[in-house]
Amino acid sequence: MKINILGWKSTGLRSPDIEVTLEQGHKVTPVSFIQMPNGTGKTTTLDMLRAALTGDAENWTPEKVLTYKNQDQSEGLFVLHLAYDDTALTFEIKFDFENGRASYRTTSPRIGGVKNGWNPPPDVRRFLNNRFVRLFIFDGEFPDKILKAGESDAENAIDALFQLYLLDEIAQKATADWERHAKQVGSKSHKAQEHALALIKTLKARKQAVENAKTKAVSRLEELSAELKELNSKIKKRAGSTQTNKKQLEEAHTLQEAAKVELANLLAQSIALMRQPHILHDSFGAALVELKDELDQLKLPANTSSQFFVELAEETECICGRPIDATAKKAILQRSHTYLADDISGVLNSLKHDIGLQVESPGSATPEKLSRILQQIEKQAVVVREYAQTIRVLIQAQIEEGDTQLAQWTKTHEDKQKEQATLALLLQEINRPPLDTDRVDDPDCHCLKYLVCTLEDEQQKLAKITKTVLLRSQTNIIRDITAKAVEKARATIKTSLTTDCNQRLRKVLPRSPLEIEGIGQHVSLRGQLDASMGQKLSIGYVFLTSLLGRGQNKFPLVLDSPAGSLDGEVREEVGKLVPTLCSQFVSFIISTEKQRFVDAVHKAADGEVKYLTCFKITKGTQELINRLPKKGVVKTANGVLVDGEEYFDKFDLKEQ
Amino acid sequence: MNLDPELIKAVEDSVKEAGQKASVAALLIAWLDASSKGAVTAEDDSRRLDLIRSALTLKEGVSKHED
Repeated sequence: MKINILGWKSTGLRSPDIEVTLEQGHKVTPVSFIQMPNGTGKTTTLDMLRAALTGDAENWTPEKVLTYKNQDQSEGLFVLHLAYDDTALTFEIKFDFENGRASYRTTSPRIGGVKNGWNPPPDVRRFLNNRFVRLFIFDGEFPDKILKAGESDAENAIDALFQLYLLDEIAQKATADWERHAKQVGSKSHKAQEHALALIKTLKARKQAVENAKTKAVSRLEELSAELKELNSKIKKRAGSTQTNKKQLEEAHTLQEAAKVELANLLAQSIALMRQPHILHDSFGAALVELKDELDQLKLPANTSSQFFVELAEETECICGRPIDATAKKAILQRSHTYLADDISGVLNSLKHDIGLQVESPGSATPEKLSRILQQIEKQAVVVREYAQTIRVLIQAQIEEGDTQLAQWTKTHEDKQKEQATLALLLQEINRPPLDTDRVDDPDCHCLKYLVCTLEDEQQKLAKITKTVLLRSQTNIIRDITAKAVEKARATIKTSLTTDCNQRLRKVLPRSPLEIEGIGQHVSLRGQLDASMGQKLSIGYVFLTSLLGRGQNKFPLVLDSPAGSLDGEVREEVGKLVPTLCSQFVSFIISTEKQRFVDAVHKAADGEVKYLTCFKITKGTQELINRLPKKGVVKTANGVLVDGEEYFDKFDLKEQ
Repeated sequence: MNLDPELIKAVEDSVKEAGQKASVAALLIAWLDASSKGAVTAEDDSRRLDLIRSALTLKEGVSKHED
């Protein structure tokens, strides 16, 4: 799917009444700059582009609709012209400001002409939702969100642009087809069929609800972890701000940190020991020694050792120093078979050697050692808790002295910890193994495994009742294959995308090295939790352009203030990068960001750039109107649009 | 639009791991390709689903006789 923006027209809105075309002749210009000073209605235009593409405006509240009203207008109109795979598609949003309503009209040959409402043809509809649109009509919050724990925007973007959702669709179609057969087939056990169908419906709803709750809980826990970390740091700073307990607090924090490190060391030691079964319990050790004694006498694996005897027989001297004559040579070759066995003997030899070394040799670790470490862990945990209590007491003392800010943060911290504990308990319940006491009709049962297994059982029962076992088995195979394929594709794409992004980041940010560690649901950075605004924006562009460059769907990329928070060098690098990685690049820009960015984009796009400048007609812009060029100017009642590179270049900050 | 090579490889590998014939992967990829181009009707879906089902190898014990 390839989508291009051909242009738009707006009247009666907060942005000037203008018509913008991004075509030159009948060809879409690969790059278009629209220079709009602050206050010209850039945000309104971007909101209109998003609303036209998603159909969202129909659900806007009257208050929201009224925010787009131009002073004396009772009606407004925004028209967006698109081409998708070379088919024309137009969305019109009509604003009725008197009643606070927005309504749509759609035009395309693929829907038979003009239709009221937001009615894109089915093949393009799947891309016209917030999930996709926010990728190409760049949402300023996107860079923040792809880096934020708890958000899944990075993974959603990958699924969207690499079409992984198509695999889910196939699985859904196969499942729906089996369910349709199972419903339609008349069965002798009609009551049982009805009962199974009803139960499956309930189980599916319960399973979906629990899965949603799980996603929400995991996401919130990640958020909470970051929030608590930040609050902890604020509380720590604030609590040490009064002289009275500053020294005591510092000391308690230092000792607590040291105690935590010691506790972590002990835990690591205990886990390392627990990996060895003979240290967990004496009986494991005894059983291992018994196993070793019962194994065959040592032999060599034929595959790797037979050549040794062949080569030894060719030598003039044996490894014991005695000469090897013809008789000895014959004996070595004949008797070598006695010492050779199949390849498994190599593994058995290693096993015997390891048991001897790890379990029997003097000085090796024993269950007593583990027991001692576990006791130390208990003691150390108490020490950590005691320091935490000391810190709490000192903070409380400062609160009692009247520090309301500290009191508020501490309260928030406690509340968040409670929320964290509640969510952790919920996740524990969701992830626990099924119990005999679990029931479908128990609303407090959140065990996902129980719900999944019961659903599976009921579907199997239904398949038997309706004689659709074969169909269901086939459906399950298709579902398993597609699920596995999504998982595999996602993993490999994420790995290669990480490499691509890091290569680009090194170019874009040569002076402040930043590396993506990995892409999970969100992008995580190596060695740091957060980044500066410029770094975030660079990561956002690099991530998005890497996606747009590799994904199979071609969307335009619309950016607002693309270079605002980037310094000169980064601007050039981003400028070189962006137009080469998307089929159409549209940028709203203010004059102060042009430097070093526009030239870089121009070069990368081989000069195929459309330069537009738009401003409102006000008393303050009268001087600009007096000096408009002779060509390429469209003037309306409240706005001016100038098409041309020279005017674009000259239009600078002073004139704004 | 062509499918991403990683997506194609993931389908081929998953089909192989599921112990199915390469023709199943070919049918799935053709379906994905047609869907990505938006060239699939409900009838097409149904036909493609039937083709894939009949190309599947089922475990012993699951057969038409069970139905």
